[in-house]
Formats: sequence, structure tokens, C-alpha cells
Amino acid sequence: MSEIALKSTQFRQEREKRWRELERLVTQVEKRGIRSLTADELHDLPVLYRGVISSLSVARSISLDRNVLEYLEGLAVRSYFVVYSPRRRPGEVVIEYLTHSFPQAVRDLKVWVALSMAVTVVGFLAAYGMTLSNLDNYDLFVSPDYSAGRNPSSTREELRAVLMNEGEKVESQSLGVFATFLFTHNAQIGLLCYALGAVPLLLVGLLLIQNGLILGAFAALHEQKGLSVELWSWLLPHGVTELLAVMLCGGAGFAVGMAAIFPGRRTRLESMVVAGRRAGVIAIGCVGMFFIAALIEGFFRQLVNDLTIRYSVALITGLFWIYYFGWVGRKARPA
Amino acid sequence: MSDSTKVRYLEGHKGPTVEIPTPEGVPLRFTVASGGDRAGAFLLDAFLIIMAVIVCGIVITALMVIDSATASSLAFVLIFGFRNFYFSGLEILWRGRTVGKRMIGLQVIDRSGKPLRVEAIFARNLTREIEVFLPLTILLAGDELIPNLPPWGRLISLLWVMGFIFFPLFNKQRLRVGDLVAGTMVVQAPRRTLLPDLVEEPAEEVASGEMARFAFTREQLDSYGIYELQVLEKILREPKTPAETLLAVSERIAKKIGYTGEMYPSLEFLSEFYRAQRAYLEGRMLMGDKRADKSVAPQAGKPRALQTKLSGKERSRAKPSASAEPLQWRTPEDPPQAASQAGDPAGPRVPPVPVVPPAPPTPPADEV
Repeated sequence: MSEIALKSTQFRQEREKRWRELERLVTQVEKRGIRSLTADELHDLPVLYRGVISSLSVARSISLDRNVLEYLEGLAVRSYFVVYSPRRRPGEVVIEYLTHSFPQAVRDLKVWVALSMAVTVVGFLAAYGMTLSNLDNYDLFVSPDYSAGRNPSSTREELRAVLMNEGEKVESQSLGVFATFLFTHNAQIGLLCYALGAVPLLLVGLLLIQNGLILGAFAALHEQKGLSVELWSWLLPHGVTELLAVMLCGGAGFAVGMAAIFPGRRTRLESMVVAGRRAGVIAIGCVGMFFIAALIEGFFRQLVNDLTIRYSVALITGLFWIYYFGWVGRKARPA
Repeated sequence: MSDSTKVRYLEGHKGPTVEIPTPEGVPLRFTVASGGDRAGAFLLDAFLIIMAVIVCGIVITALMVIDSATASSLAFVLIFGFRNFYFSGLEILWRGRTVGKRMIGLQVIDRSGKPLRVEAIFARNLTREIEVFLPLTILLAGDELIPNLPPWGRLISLLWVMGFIFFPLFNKQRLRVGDLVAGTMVVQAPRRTLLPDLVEEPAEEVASGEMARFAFTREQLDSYGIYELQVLEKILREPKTPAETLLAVSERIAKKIGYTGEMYPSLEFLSEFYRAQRAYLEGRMLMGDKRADKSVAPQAGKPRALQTKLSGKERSRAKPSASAEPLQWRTPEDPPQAASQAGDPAGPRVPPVPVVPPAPPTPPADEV
């Protein structure tokens, strides 16, 4: 063996220092963020990164040292993500999300949101009509443990007591528990609607229509007893937000399912990815909406019995969401 | 030599790879995480969630005595939080990794190589709701959820879970339904350390004028390909390889290549053989002859097109068992050219040409 050193060894000896320097910087960024680098280090980072990318390319064609190859592949990947992944402050992300991404995503999927609204309304009308014509049908739509004793045999006074909180006086503290329960429970249903859409459309439809059916039967029961005004004052203050969120989740689910069935000009996979991400944006926003709804439902509704205030809250939330999803974030995204 | 020794040093699972182009023009290669690794990472995370819930449960039960209302609100929020935000939260925080993925060495990446966006992370993790949590709830607590749940209800949810769990096994990139929808994939991302080069030391010996103790001819070096070279590298890098194994390996090599000279001590023999073999194969590689493993016939002046029909990966996956296979020698139409090659293992001195164009002067500082 007269060879002094292999080409791959020479190659490595000449560049190893810079590899290790980049590795140190990348490790530091991964641990403590890009702000922990000094100005000089920040300046070096992209240069070193290009050096390693170049080394990787050469090493692939001249070196058979598996350890060097794997090291360079790994280092290139890590530094690629550091160099090309813009890291924004969490505050900026949240603000951009609220003022732009979320309402825009909803507008993008408005057809599907409308569809999920339509499905709910169809369910509502069907159950409303059937229950109104024959109160016995009520049991078809509302399961006993959901109605909590409110069924056709209840008297007007009993129903009214529930709506206007005239039963046993509730403590304000247990309302907190009630609110958190409502929030987690409802949000879970909404997220389920989104997740279901990813697979069978039919199930989203079923879930939405069932929601409508229960509502319709409920409305019919109270109409029969002459309690419509009180019922809606009981439902709407939080219902505007909550039902809207359920419909948005349902719409998001529909969109993903439809994207899979009718991909249009994209490939099926691409089309699902586009719809899936937009739907993800909506699902997260809906968690926030459920949270607001639960606060209204858990505290406000239990404490305030004045019809005018109840209806004005419903109106205000309704107008707010119309404004929010109609107009907020329509301008170009800030650079 | 027993087969168990051989298996121990073979490479770990190497799944299909995907290439993601970089703006620099050099594609990055990712190895798709195997189903087993994914399951392992998930089980670790699931275990962690369960432990966390148990700990929280104990704390909350303790709180219950003091303030039952706050305690139960806390319980609702915590369960909701773990169920929906454990995976998403950690993947946002740690660039596509959770505790389980970190321990196994996996990472979530965007399939197109763009930065992993928050909505993609949420989209891929929220589908766990139907993949795991909902059917599991029906399976375990179906009676409370749906009164009079018939046995086939459980069967359906069992099949449902199975369908989703095994979904990744039916596509090449091992995509979960959530990955499919979010445009993400999970790849191997182990931390590699740069170890010392195995061929640096002999340079001193040469400098002091000492002749190498072990010499190999070109025919002998033609016995193996890149795969075998890298298996040998792995053996040599293993810090505590027992002496018997080294001896067995060197005897095996000597038998295969027809080497009759000095071969003790085994470690030195193997190191020297590694050096010679690597020098030879790297030299051939510069000439455009990248020989994946010993089952590919060695090339000598043949047109390149003939030997690149099979990619290296495909070749190395189909490992023939060495004991059953006869020694492979060059076919008659490949006359040996040992005399001209043995002394010049690195091949002609062509400097490697970097593929990458020189970097533009201004770094993309705004992107950092």
C-alpha cells in the first residue's frame, strides 16, 4: 500500500472542522432557539450549511465510509430544517391565526359549511314537524338520558323551571364544573365531526342530522306547551356559537371527504392534503368557539333569566360571527 | 462460522427512502420509519399519557377533599387536553417529535419538504380521534355510551381499530390516515456522531517506510462489494467485538477471497483488509463502477449500462446466504488485470467535481 491516504479520508480531513462547527450551531439552535446565536454565528450558519450540503453531494459519490455518509445525511437534514424553517413567535402565530387563517379557511369551505347547515336544518324541520303533529314521536328523536326528564308528559311548569332556572338554586361554583364539562364534551363532538369526515361522509351527515333532529323535537315539545320564546332564549345565547362551531366542523369534515371523492384537477392525495390542512385550521378554531359557548352556557344562561338580555346576547354573538367570518382577514396576509 | 454471528452485524431495518429536493440542488434522503418503530413510539407516548393521567388523578383526588368543584373542572380540562393536544403540542414544540418519537429516533416531516406547519400537525393528530380514541371507548365502555350495545357493535369497532392500525402497512410511505390528510410522513431521524476514520492510522507506517504486512491482489478485492465493506466497517466500529468473532470473520474472508498469507492479529488483518477494500472500491466508484454487493459481477472495462440495472438498495435487500453460495469468480470474458491495478487501488487521480454551484454571496438571512 503506497497510498498515503484515501481520497475520501483526505476529503474528510479537510472539511471535518466545518462540519463540527455547523453541528454545534445546529444543536444550539435546536436547544435554545435561533436567538441564542451571536451575529457572527448567524452569519456563518447558511454558509456552513451550504458547505455541508456540498460535502454530502461529494461524499455520496466518492466515499464508502458509512459512518461519514450517515453523519452528513443527518447533519444536512437537521441544518436544512434550521435554515429553512422560519420560526415565528407564538404571539404572532396566534394573532395571524385569529385575524387571518381561521376566518379565511372558513370562507374557503363555505360551500361545505352551508351543506352541513342545510343537513342540520333538514333534521330540525323533520323532527319539528313530526313531533308537533304527534307528541309521541318525541321519544323517537330524544333519548331519555339526554332529555333529563323533559318529555311530553312534563307539565308546562316543569319545563319552564328548567329553562328559567327556577328549580333548586344553583351555586355559582358548581357552574364552573358545568361549564368545563360542557366545553370538553361539546368540543369533543365537534372534533369528532371533523375527524369523521376524513373517512365516511355518511357519518358526518348522520351526526349533523341527529343534532338537528334532537333540536327539532325539543322545539316542537316546547311549542306545544307554549314555551317557544323561553326555549329559544335558553338555547340561543350559547347555541349561536355552539351550533355554528358544530356546523363548521361538519363542513370541514365534508370538505375532506369530498376532496377525496372528487379531487378535481389535483391528484386525490394532493386534494386531500389541501382540504385536510384547511379543515385542521377550522377544527382548532372551533375548539375556541366551543370554549366561548361553554362559558355562556355554563355561567350566563344559569344566572341570567331576563328574556331581553338573553336574546340580545344571542343577537350580539350572531352578528359578531357574521362579521368575523364575513370580513375579518380579507386583506392580504401581512408579509 | 455460525449464522447467528452473521445476523448480529447485519444492518438494521432499512425501509424505502424518499428524496426531498433542496434549493441547493442536492436532494436530502429520508428513510421511511418502519411500522414497528411507529408502533413503538406510539406505545411509549400512550404509556406516558396513561401515567400522566394516573398522576393527575391522584392529585385531583387529593384536591377533591379541599375543593371538589375546581378539582372536577380540572379533571375535565386535563383529560380533554391530553386527548387532543398531547401529540400536537409536542410536535409543534419539538419540530415534529414527541417523547416516544424522540426515544425511537423518528420525526414528522412535510411530504414536500416544506417547513412543518401547525395546521398540518393538528390535521394529522386530530384524526387520532377516530383512529384510536373513539373505537377504543366503544370497545371498553360501550355499555355506558350506547345502552344495549350488541356484541357485533364491539366487533365492528374492533375491526375499525384494526383497519386504521394496519393502514400504514398497505402503503409504501407508511402513512397513517392522519398523515395522508395532513400531507406529512414519519421518517427516521437518529442522532449520528462522527466517529474516527478507520483508515487514518496506516499513514504513519507508510511514512516510516515500513511495508504493509498484508497485501491483497485485485482479484481478491474483487470478491466483495459495497454492502460487505460496510458490514465489515460496522464490525470494526463495534467497540467490544469479541476476539473469536474477529477471528471467525477474518477466516471467513480469507476463505472467500482465497487469501493464504499472514492474518494475525485478526484486528490488524481486518483493518488492513478494510482499508484496501475501501480504497479499491472507492477507486472503482470514481470510474463509474458502483458495485452494490458481492452478488453483482465485478466490472472490468464493460459498458456501465450493463451493471446498473438493479439499484443498490434492491441488491442489498436480497442477501444470499453465504454458506450455500459458491465462491464467485470472474466470468471468462472478464480477463483479470491485476498487474495494472493492484498497486493503484485508488484509481486514476481525478479530483472529485462538486455538484453544487458556488454559493451566492448573500446568505438568506431573512429566512433564518
